[in-house]
Amino acid sequence: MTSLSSFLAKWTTTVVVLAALAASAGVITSGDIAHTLNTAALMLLGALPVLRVIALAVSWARAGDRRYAAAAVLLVSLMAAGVVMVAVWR
Amino acid sequence: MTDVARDVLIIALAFVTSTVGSLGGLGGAILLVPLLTFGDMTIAEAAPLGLVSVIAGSVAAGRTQLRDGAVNHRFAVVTELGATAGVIVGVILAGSISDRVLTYFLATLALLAAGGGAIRKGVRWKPDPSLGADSIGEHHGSLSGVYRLNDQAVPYQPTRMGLGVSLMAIAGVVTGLAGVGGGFLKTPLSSEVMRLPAKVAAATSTFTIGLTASTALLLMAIDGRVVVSDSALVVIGSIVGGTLGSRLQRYLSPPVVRRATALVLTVIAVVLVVRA
Repeated sequence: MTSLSSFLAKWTTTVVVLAALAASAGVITSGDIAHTLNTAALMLLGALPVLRVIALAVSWARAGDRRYAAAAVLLVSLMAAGVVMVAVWR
Repeated sequence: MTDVARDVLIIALAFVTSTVGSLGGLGGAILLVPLLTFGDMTIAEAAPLGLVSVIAGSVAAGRTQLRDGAVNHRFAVVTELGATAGVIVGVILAGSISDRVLTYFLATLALLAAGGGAIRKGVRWKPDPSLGADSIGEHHGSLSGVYRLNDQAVPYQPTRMGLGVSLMAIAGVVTGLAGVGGGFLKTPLSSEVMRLPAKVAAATSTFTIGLTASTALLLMAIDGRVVVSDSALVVIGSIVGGTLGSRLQRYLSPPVVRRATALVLTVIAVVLVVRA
């Protein structure tokens, strides 16, 4: 396994465990605490795929793989532009 | 149904659909959403839960798939550029095509994809005995790579990228129109058009559908459509299901993964037609 895959796997495992713990705690508690825990679980999981692309862009740029680093930056930019466009359009 | 029974049922449905979804790189929302609507939920309520299921299953499966070197990130980024552009167009055009026409179109695509995977025999990419375990992974500056198959290293090189990315953009338009994850289109396109090995296609699609779903979930959150208490139940079921599906994938041969994917795609087509 490459060092990048190892790094991403470790972070993914950490996020999955934290999200599972937060969601489980959110299910067995109630009120504002439950809402906060459930929201935290969703935010952790939702942010991870985008952070993964950003980590890939940085790693590829450092390794001199400029073409794919640029493609990763373009993808994140496109996703951000899409969210803004659709949010405004709606 | 009591509240506890309802909660357990949501966790169980998320678990089963995420297991199946991560096994074939299909996501699982396209199965989970119709199943939830058989109960007391509307499609508008179930759709965000489908996206949560895709994200949680994708992230959970990512752990095993990263360790196995099964994900080709460069391929994912390149094809997702086309798919994301298509999704934006699809979301903007949503509502211009009737739900019934769209559903039959999706069912036809699912059946075509199932046929493509089921008809092909054998394994396209052969193991290379000269390659060791240290060669597993993707190549610097290229879309090629090497993946692990029964303790052997198998080199591969995707082809027809221009056609594939164009079709991914069309798949993106369809997913934007229909509000589904799109794994059931992306995985067959990756394996049958761009000739990625079935396992790499499934693992790579599992990553990209998580990306698409994250963007879509953010848009639904802006609209205030995400019910966090139900989402937490789906997170629990999908994390366990995504982990199990990716581990099962490790032990299955490519033809078995292709046939299983074809079977699920056929079920998806039937579910879509029944819903229509």
